[in-house]
Amino acid sequence: MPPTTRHLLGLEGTSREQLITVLDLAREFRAVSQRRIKKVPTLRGITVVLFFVEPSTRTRLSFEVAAKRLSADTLSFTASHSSLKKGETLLDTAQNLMAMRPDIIVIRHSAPGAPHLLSRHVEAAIVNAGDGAHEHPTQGLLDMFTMREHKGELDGLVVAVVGDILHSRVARSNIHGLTTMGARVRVAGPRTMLPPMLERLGVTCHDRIEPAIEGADVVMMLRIQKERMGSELFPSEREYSRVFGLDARKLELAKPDAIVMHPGPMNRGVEITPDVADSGRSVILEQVENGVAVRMAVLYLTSAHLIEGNGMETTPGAGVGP
Amino acid sequence: MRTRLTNCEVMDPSKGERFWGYVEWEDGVIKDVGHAGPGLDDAGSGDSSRIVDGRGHLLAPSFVDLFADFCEPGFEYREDVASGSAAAASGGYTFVCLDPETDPVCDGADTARFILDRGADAGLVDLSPCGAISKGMKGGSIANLGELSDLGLRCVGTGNRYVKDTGFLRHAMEYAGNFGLLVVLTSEDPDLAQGSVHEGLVSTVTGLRATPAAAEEVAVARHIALCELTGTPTHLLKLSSEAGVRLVREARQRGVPMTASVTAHHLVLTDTAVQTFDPQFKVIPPLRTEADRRALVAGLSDGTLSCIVSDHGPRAVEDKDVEFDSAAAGASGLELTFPLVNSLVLSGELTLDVALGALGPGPRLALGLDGGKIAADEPADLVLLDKSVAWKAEASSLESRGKNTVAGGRTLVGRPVMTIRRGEVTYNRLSGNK
Repeated sequence: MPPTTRHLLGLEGTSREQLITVLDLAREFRAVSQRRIKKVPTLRGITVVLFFVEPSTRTRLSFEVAAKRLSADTLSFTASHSSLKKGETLLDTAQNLMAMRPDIIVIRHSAPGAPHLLSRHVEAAIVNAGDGAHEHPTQGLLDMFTMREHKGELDGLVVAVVGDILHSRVARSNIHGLTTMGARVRVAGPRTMLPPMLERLGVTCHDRIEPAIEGADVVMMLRIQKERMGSELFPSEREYSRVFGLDARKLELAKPDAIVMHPGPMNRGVEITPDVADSGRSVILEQVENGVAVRMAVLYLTSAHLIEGNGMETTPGAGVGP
Repeated sequence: MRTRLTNCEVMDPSKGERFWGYVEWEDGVIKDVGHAGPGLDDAGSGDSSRIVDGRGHLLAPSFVDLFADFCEPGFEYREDVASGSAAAASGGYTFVCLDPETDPVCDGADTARFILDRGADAGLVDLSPCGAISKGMKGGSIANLGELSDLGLRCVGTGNRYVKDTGFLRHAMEYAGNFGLLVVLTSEDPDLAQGSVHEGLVSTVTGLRATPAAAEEVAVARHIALCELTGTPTHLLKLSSEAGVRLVREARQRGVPMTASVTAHHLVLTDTAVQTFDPQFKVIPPLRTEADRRALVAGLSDGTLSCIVSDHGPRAVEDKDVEFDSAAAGASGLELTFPLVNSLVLSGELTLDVALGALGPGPRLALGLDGGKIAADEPADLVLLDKSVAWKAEASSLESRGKNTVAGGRTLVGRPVMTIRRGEVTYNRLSGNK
């Protein structure tokens, strides 16, 4: 969320202060979800369109819950129902959505840069909910939030990100956010899945999982897409899980209090063994829960200027706290 | 009628000369070239019935383009031969070779004749459709190159495509040699070229599918080997990488009968332009790194690359106003090539000699065309250039139907003000109001 824009297109270029603002605010919003009445009036009158042009269940639900807990009105628009399948262009569809006068459009799309295209053409604030292999900023934020809850400061934290970095928007958003916050990020995976010049983003690259997770505070496993199995990128599921998968034995290399993360959905037995996924070290379900709080913070911040304009409550803490 | 263009700075890149003077022509042929101080309109031979004041602008041999897409037949919503011809004349061109990838493909006399007729109707530039070297551009059987040659076509090739079957390409190149046709090839191995941006830091950050420079290197190496094997003069279109330039330099030093070109946008821009996902910067081959860009400039300066091509790719708004991945590649280039190249002259990266040499005489030499000199008895194919006028490449200021340019909102400097083909003025901004 660079200062010049009200959109959230990615974590690249987002400052440390901005990240801290979102993460601090998310902590306050998490309290809302822990109350009996899980709703505050903060975004009353704000319309949020969930524009999902690529299949997604958890991210869409998470945004929907986040918007509803803030009392925003939500419209859900998914690819299977949409006219995009009939050949209408993305911009035409978006212009039609604008007729509903939404304040925020949350977009998920398979093409990198699709949220940027929208942001150039429509009035609403754009929140990127994942654009191809580019970024998934709210996932990066919720991962950082989860790490912060467990480890306190992100500064100096050793984070291993393992798997298909090439196709992972989650990895990119985490790399941008974590390096900005001073964490030491190591990535590992088959060389066929490590894009070039990653080091220039401030991370170290490893051919094997072991040196990446040795002494790590956080081990983040990425989902391997089944359709890439047995392709030119790696030979088989069996070999992948043996060389790059996380099991209890490999996890011993990490710090004793290291946490294990996964953006989901998991391929149990491929990139992560079930015993590790279900162990006390795993914070995978917490990530999902924290996603709601982080998205509440993002929706709040991207519409803050609108709320001010309406003369509504602008202090995040007020009406939110316990 | 004898015409005299006076009061201009005459530049003949073939001689490296530049002087204040005048040029006279009649019946499409230059009759007299002479010195005269700026502002002095001396009488010359005194029998000119028409005198044009060049207002101190630069007079050079007109431009020749080795690769432009006029989109007709088949894609007239993007451009047609008439609008493309107007764009070419406005860009300073008098001769343009066209992309064979029309619909139908230009692989035989029927389509070629249709395009030539349309060009004659427009009457602004000489056209030479680049014939498809294989029938249907499918790479399986050799097109009727003899009948294309009979129509006066100068070159055949693969357009933006790639013939995968190296054995077939070898035979097609040999056969083209029978007719003295220049073979024009794009060098991008499709197995490696998986995306529309350069594989490097920008692709890593944006997550866009990428094409490594090695895709060009592999293909250039193949094309050099085939050129050497067949002996057929070959032109490699729009090189984009340091490796490509290096291979061509070495091949030309060995005497392989090969020429190569670069586009203005590859000379001026790098892959950082696509960081904002703006499809206007989606071109084939992709924009690469600053090191590649510098190698291209150096290759042009040392003569490895003897031609600048427009790679004119007009696209409709709906082709570009979509997601980067779905957008059509290409940039409207005929009217931007000189200003973009001029920006390198102004910044001191290129000399004016080299720039104008690669726009006019270089492509003529590659195609085996006459001209490219400003001297008596040479064809009066000339362009008058205003090197310092500032303008914006907006929809209203472009003749091309393709308003898709790489200029963004930037102000360009330099523009042709008059184009003369065989003595006829095909474009004139001197007396215009624009």
